[in-house]
Amino acid sequence: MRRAYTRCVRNARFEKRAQLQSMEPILIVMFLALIIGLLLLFSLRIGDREVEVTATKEASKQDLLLLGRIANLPELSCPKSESAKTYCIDMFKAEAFRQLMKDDDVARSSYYPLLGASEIAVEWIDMDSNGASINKSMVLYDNLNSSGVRPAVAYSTMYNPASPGAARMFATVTIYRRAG
Amino acid sequence: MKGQLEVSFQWVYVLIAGGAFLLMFFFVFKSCTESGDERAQGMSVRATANAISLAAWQEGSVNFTFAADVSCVGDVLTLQALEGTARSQLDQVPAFLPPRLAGKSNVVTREVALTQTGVPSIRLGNVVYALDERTRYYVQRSHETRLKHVLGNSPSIIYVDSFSNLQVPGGVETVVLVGDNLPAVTLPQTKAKVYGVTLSEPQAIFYTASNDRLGSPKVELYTGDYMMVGAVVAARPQTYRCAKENFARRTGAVLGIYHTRNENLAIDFQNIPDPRTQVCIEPLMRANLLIFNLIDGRSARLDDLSTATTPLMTHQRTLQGLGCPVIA
Amino acid sequence: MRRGQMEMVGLVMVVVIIILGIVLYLAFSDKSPSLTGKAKDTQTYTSFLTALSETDVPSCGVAFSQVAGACLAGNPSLCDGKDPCVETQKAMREVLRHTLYRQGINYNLSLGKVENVSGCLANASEMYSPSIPVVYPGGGGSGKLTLSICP
Repeated sequence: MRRAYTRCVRNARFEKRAQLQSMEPILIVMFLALIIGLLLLFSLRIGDREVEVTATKEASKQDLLLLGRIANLPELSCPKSESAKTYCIDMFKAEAFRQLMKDDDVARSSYYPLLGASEIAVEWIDMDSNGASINKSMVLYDNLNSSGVRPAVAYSTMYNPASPGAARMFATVTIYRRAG
Repeated sequence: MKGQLEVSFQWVYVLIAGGAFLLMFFFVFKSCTESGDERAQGMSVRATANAISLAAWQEGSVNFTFAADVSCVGDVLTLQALEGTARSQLDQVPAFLPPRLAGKSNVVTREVALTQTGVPSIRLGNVVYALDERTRYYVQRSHETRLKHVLGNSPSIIYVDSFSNLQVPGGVETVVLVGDNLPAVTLPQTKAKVYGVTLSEPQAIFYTASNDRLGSPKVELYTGDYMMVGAVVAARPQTYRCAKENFARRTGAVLGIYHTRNENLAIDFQNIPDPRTQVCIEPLMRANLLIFNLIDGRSARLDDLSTATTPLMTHQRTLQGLGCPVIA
Repeated sequence: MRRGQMEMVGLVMVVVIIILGIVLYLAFSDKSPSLTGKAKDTQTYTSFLTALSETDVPSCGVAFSQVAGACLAGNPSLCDGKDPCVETQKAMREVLRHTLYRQGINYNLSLGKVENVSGCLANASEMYSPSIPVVYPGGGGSGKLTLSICP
């Protein structure tokens, strides 16, 4: 009787150990599959992240290019005789452009491919002959419905065709876009 | 024997469990990359459309590699990716694009202006032309000077004395014949799609090949050299019309801005008792009247642009000589 | 002995997975996209200098670049008897006041001895230092208009 009991227990212990040993291959394979799966998922995340970084860098670069193009548009640029090495915006054209963008929805939408969802403002410094100056500004285009904004800045000159003597004034052109 | 059976039974569990895990991860990965691919494709065609739109606003030349169909959907030039369903519109860009963009393309933006030697030009806007490497233009020599002037030298354009015995090389997907009397030509032996454009002022007539001959013509009116060259590159009347209308719209906006500017300048000068600026008022107002007559609603009257050139440039010269601000 | 080995292997695998996870997470989760950086700002500040050089100085009736050139050459005839260096200094001051100074940027704008400084001394470590040439009126020499930006 006792011998049978001992044998039973010994067999039971052997069974448990056998079960444990037989589980090992399953566990190994599951771990391997887990590692491979994690690596696949992380490679996806890396790919996504790269696209995001590239997209943001590209957006910055596009803003700078756009600022250059804005001042070269026939809608805004000084007559050819005035624009030298840098950008030059004709003040009277800028005012006409501003009015057009504000009052004419069709016209505003036709400039959307160029200007997009942004706000474009120009500030210029009106100096007098005594060395004093006033800062003036104008919003050329406003198609931005957003609170968080990311500005890009370029420097230019504002040309006043009505003022023959001191015609070109230092100007800052800022383009605001939605941040993120 | 029983032990062996037990062991192989365990291995079946192992294989099933491991395989199930791998399959699960594989499906997750696959669905992520598929949506990523679609997004990438959409982004790619949109990026291309944006790039063309942006390039259109500044003179220069840009190279692209992309594949897209060009069409006019409700008066809007549209690019559609050749594989997949991604579509992006060019949105009122004054662009003359070939019917299909299959491989490498050179997009050229040219400024349009009224010019005269020794006088600042009056800028009107830009037009965009695309020359696709898989589109071949066979152009009658009488149009060579005009095309080269606008499009430069391009391997896509072959100037010929006659259209007989044209050998179309492999890889060309679209053939455009440009000449003076196209219905009389024998079509080249090719699998490529064939279009024809006759350019004889003031008309551009568009043809498409069917049953080995050029089919019924669609007549489009055009004006100006740049418009005619646009007809060549578009090779389809609807696309050409789209581009022309977009150009007219933008030129109308530009002329409108010039008009407002000159009007405000003249008013300011009237209020300034300075003889240097008083002399500017009359020539500015005369020029403004001409500009006003060039605008029809929101668009430019393209037909009248060439006849208005000489009188406008005369006013430009006068203003420059008087030391006044020029027209624009 | 075999069971002990298997346990070790299992433990090592768990540790490897956890370390892998942590490393990959740290490497790729916090990366904020860096902008075009130095190239972009240098371009912006170079455009500042170019715009300044083409700005008209009302008291002299000519462009800043000409007034600055007259200052470097010691030539007072350009500004109706006024000292071109004084007019240069005034113009620099007014432009900077409304732009870089207002933005809180530390700068040093210098044309030879004429300087306009805000928080950026000559020997301080600079971030960018673009400059453009300034030519004496009628040729005969040139100098540099330099804008140094400090962090």
